[in-house]
Amino acid sequence: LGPCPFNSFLSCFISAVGSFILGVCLRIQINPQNKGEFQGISPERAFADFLFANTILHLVVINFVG
Amino acid sequence: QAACNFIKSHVDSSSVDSLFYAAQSIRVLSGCEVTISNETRELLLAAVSEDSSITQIFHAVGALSGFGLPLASQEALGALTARLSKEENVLATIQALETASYLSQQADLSGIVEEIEDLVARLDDLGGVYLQFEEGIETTALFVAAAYKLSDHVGTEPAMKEDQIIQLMNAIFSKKNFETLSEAFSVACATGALSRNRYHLPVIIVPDGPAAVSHHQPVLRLQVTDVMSQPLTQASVKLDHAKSASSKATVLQQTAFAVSGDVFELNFMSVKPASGYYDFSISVDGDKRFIANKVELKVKVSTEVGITNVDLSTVDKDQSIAPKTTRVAYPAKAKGSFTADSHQNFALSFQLIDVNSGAELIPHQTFVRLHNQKTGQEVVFVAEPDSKNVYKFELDTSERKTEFDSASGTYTLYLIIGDATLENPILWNVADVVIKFPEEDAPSTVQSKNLFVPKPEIQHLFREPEKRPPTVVSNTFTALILSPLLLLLILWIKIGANISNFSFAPSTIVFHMGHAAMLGLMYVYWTQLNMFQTLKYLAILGGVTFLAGNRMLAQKAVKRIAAEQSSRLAKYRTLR
Repeated sequence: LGPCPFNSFLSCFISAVGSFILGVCLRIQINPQNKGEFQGISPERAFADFLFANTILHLVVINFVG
Repeated sequence: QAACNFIKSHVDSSSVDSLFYAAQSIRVLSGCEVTISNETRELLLAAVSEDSSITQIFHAVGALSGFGLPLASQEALGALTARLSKEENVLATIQALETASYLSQQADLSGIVEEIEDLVARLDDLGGVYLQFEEGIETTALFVAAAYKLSDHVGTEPAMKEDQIIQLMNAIFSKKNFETLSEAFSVACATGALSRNRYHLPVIIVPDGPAAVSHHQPVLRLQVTDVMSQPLTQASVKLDHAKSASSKATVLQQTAFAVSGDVFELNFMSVKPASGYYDFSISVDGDKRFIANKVELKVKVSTEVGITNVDLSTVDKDQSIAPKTTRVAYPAKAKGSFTADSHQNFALSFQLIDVNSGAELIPHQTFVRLHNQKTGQEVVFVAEPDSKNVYKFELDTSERKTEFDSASGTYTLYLIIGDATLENPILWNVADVVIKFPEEDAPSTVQSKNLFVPKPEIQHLFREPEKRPPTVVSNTFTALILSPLLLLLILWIKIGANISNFSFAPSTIVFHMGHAAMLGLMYVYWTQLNMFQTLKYLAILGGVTFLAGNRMLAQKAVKRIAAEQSSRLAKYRTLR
């Protein structure tokens, strides 16, 4: 087993980690109790950011998975 | 005569300047007389005073002198000295020098003469080559003319050293085209002063034609003139020494040049110099006034080359057969052709001698040129001399096949000999050589090495997919990975996923469709597309989704804020 399957493994790993992080960010940003820390970022904006970041993450992951 | 009439009709008796110019012109024109009225004379005499500017004094004195009228030199001198202390600029001082040259020799002009030294100190030294006033060439030239005029008049040598005079000359004669007439006039004045004064006579030594001698032209001719290009045939021109430029050996010394018409000649070939360059050191004597009369000159001695002992041979590589040698005489061409292939090398040897002296020569260019008659290729090699000054060239087909592009065929061999000191450069078609390269290297077509056509376009190569592990392993792991997804679906159904906020507005539908399409694109990218195409599609889909999503989220936000407001209002009401 050479670099090829290792690429796939790495990309899946990164996908999992990245998705986890983005999910956590979204949850923090949407929570009304945290509103004080996120002035100017409405929940909708948070969701849009989440989707955009996800798109880029998936693009990278699919490229890398081979 | 027309000039005289012009002056007489145009002179303005009330202007000192006009009178000055008229007087100076009349002095030079013979047979021209102008009558001066008493009033004019009074005017001129009155101008010579402390109250007029130096230019006025200069013109008045010059006019009086030019018209031959009496002049009070002491008074003029007094006025001049007084004005000089007030006007310190260079031009005024120069005019004072000129004025003093019109005054009587009885007056004590030493004060004015000292001004020459002061002015010399004010000259700017430019790079050790030029010496001139910052006001320019015109002022410098006028200074030279005035200084020599005054020095001749007074009888003392001007306080200028030889180097300074040479540098002044460099500056004054540095221009060939003049912008104004006054500049040209000043240079002409300076030239006249430098060629006709009692103290310094600069000498110009120039070779007549190129400084080269040979057997056809054995005489070195020099033009020795003053600055007005008048030949100084009375001078004695001597060669101090002539040294070879390369070996520094003295070839000739203390020989005089002979006068022939306007030029000086020396037959240099009589000492039979070897060809090359020589440094000549020449001095001109005969007059104590000569300056700049020692020069260094580089002279070229050229000769003719002859090629001898030309041997063409084919040398067998295995050394088993003795080499066949053919002797060729220049300029004939060798009969028959020679072959060079994998078994035998082609060799050429020759000697170069000086035809006139028999000595061996090492010219700068000794090339062997091979020209392919069919394809037009040519390859040039350098023939090197060995320790005995015999030139050798050997062609080994296996070593040299890259230069020839392995193109076999008949090549004409040329010998090219050239040098700066050779009168007869040689291009000689010596022989024809058939060169055979080993067959496996011969290209099908010979392309000329054209460097300036576009090179083939480089296509971007994506990473090729590598070998993959067996299918069973892959499938197992695929199932493992997909299992959490199943878990998610099951849990969703159990808990009941919340999709209550889903409104069926168009932008919402577009957004969700766009988003689904993007995810689908990811899958297609994984299976088929490359990055460039994916990015293209992604841009389109992403743009649409973004707009729709923006719309949808904005609507959501409005709804949320409205809901918050109403809930806050309700809370407020209940509190009341």
